[in-house]
Amino acid sequence: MASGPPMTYILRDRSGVTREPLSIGDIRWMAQKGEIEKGWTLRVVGGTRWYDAMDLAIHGIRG
Amino acid sequence: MLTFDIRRPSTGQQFDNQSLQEILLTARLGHLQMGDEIRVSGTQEWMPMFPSRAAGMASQFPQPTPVIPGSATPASPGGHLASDPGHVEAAMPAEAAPEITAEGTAEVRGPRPPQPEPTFLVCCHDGEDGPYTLCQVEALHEDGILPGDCLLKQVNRPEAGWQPPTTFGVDLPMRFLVKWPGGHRIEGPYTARTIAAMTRKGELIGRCLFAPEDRPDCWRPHPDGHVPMGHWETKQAVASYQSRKGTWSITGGA
Repeated sequence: MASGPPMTYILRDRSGVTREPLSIGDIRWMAQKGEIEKGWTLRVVGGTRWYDAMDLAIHGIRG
Repeated sequence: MLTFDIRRPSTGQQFDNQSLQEILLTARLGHLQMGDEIRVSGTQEWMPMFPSRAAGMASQFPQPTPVIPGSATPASPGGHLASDPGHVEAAMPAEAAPEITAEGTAEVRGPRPPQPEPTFLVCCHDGEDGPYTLCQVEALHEDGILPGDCLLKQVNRPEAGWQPPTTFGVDLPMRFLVKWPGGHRIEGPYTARTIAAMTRKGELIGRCLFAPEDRPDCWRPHPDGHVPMGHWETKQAVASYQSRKGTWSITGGA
């Protein structure tokens, strides 16, 4: 089981504006409120890859 | 027998002619702190028990509970030691301990350089990420970022190639999708641990259905009609889910 500090993320909108640091809970909450749009990406702070925020990081509202 | 003197300049306490065994026991019990010094008995050169680098590392860890001298509480398993130089403020990092040489003689060496925590690149089916420590890999899996079938490559041992996490002792736990009543809202995948945390926060309700992430057609309610917090939380319960892959049932568990 993970026991380290929670991971933090950078969220980037289509225009390249970023918000950080965000927890996965913050991002999930934003998604539930409909604040995350298609084309937004997220990256782990310290990581290199940008993930599709709508597709991957957003646990909520898949159905 | 080689003995050592230890002292605490901040209080003026000094204990001479301590055997290596006594010092190691004192250290294990956490009765040493930053600023303590050591020397070989009969010599004049005091050396810090904890180099400044170790002091920096120690600040990142929880501090032990102060010892009550003479007590036999769990916080001080050995109680008061005759050589106890005082109460505990910080545990002794292993790298600062004196070493026993191959010949069996004790020798105070400089601190071993701390080994950096290994980091790994992560390969998913559609890209690479990292580097991350193994703890971070677990956290990213728990957050839903990394899939369970990702591969890892140790940064300083790239020749070993891509390996499953289990090669490095990481067993990424099974995750579950959660379907809310009505079926319009499906969340996840979440680990059992995350589900337990969400349950505690009241973010899940009893009528939710659960399915293993690799079997999204296999929804199961909990037979008790509510999300069983303790059930999700136990490692045993998680293991039972894994063992039931194929004929999965949420009723399994501790």
